[in-house]
Amino acid sequence: MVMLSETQTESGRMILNMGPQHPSTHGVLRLLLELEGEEVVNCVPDIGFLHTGIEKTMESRNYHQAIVLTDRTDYLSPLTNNLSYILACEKLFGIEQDIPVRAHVIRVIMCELSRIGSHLIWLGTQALDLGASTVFLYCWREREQILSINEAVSGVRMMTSYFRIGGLSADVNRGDPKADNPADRLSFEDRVAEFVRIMPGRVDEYELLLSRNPIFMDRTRGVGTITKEDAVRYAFTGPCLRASGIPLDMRVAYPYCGYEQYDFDVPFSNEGDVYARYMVRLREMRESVKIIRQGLEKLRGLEGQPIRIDDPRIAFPKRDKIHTSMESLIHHFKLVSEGPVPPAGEAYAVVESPRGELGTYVFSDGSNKPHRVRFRGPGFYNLQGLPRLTNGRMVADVVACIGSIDIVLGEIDR
Amino acid sequence: MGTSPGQSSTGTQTVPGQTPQTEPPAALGPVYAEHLQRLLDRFSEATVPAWRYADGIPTASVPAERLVEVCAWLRDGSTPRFELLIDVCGAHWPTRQLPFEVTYLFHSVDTNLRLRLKCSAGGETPTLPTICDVYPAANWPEREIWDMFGVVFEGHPDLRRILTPNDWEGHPLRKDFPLGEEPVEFYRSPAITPSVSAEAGGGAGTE
Repeated sequence: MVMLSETQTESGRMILNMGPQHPSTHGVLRLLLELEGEEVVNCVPDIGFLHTGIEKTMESRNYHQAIVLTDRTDYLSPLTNNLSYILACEKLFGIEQDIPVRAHVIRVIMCELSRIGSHLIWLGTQALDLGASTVFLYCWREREQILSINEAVSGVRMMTSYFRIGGLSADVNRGDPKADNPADRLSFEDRVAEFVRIMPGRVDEYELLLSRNPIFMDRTRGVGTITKEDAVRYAFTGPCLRASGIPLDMRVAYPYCGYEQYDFDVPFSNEGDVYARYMVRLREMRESVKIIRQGLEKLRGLEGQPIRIDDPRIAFPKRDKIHTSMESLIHHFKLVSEGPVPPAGEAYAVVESPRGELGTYVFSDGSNKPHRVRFRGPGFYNLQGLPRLTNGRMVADVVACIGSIDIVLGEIDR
Repeated sequence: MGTSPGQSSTGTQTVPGQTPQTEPPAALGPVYAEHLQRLLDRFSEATVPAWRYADGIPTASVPAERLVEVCAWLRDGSTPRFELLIDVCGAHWPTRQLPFEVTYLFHSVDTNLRLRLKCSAGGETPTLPTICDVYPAANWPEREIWDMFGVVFEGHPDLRRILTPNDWEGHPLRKDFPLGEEPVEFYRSPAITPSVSAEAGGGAGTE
């Protein structure tokens, strides 16, 4: 093991400590680089700086309370984390067949929006790391729209906790004609429709700035290449695996929330380098826009349908019922104070997060609190394979490689 | 005056608001997924635990001494081949005979089939063999399970703590490890003296 105090190995190689406060490490990641001149001989990631014991804390909360903690893992796409945990719980409760269609459609729209939002951060920071600061600011402009939609729907911009076991916490907003902010006067559907109207043009804009940019291409093509076999050996998932030639997408392989009814492509590439991962993610943004369009179409036919199952043991009663019905008040009290109680067992549910396979493993011992919750974060495994990308390359390429695997340390350290 | 069979059977229907019992019919004998059945045929020590797997992923339990062999067979010998190790997950069940249960989840790239293996350990220092040589992706998750549960993976190339600091004591996800909340002290804080809080409360009360 290499210690921080060492600056040289016996063979005279230099040990460079990159991070944990390096801006290009996207959080608090520390890399120990063993250098021969400017060539990286070995790279040892050191994680855990953001470990907050989320899995341990969830064991002392009931099933509804634990939802709030899932936001804090992958904080760039909180809705996907919510969904992964909630799908696992719904399997555990045995209600995954009963979820209303309207809830599923809204879940899909929100998850695809957060996928675009997360990819925008990845794109902005990746470009910024490679010296293209314009793209960064453009990406923030579009992400702002997504965060506003999050806020309008859930009341919070980032830590949404919008989904519930059995459906959603509330229906999407109708729009308030008297609101001060003009955007708040629009309904959810109009806002999202406006976003998907402009988004394809914006992706064109990013492509114009980067895809044929000679500096960007020099820094990314043939850099950080990983073969198909190695990507599988190191359990890469998501865009990183698809850029290496395996079109594995959880939305297609194990459809959840009715993804099998949507028409979209799974972009993949055979190059396996940073540029391939860039192209895969850009094309994914366009596919997400396609999915959201279809979702809006479906939503139109589901006006006024329920957004939560009607099961007082699991899902919260409607707010207006609590004020008028004694039983609803009791059910609400029971759910808040004690929480729903699943039968003993375990369930693993997987969603395609912007970074790959996000699985949540929930173990129940038959009490009102999860016995154990485990997050299978895609970043944890993708980062593990980072030395495969960087070894033998220049120090400057390390920056491009970290950006291209799109890590979020909150999800890796939990 | 006996109730007819038809009536009594309607009486056992699920009552609204109660959980329907979802126990499988035991008389027919279990029917396993093909790839799980092949594993059970190949390794006589492998068993299917009596436990509720609500996600429907075929699951087998193997003894620790056969684990590496089973994994190598899954990767190279079985049909379909399970090349992708999706996850390794630990859990602590203090009341069980072997309290530390490690769950391995495998994925087959060609067929999208999944298979789950369970392996348990107990004793003073729970020990399992590492599967790093078969699946290099198991390196970090095994370190995490060592860190969080104190399960030693024999033969692991680099078994260090991964999420907690190097000088951390104990294994946080064990059930006997306290959560460590700091008690909130409401009245002893020197910053809020009784007179100040009374003043603030009095101001609100006069309205």
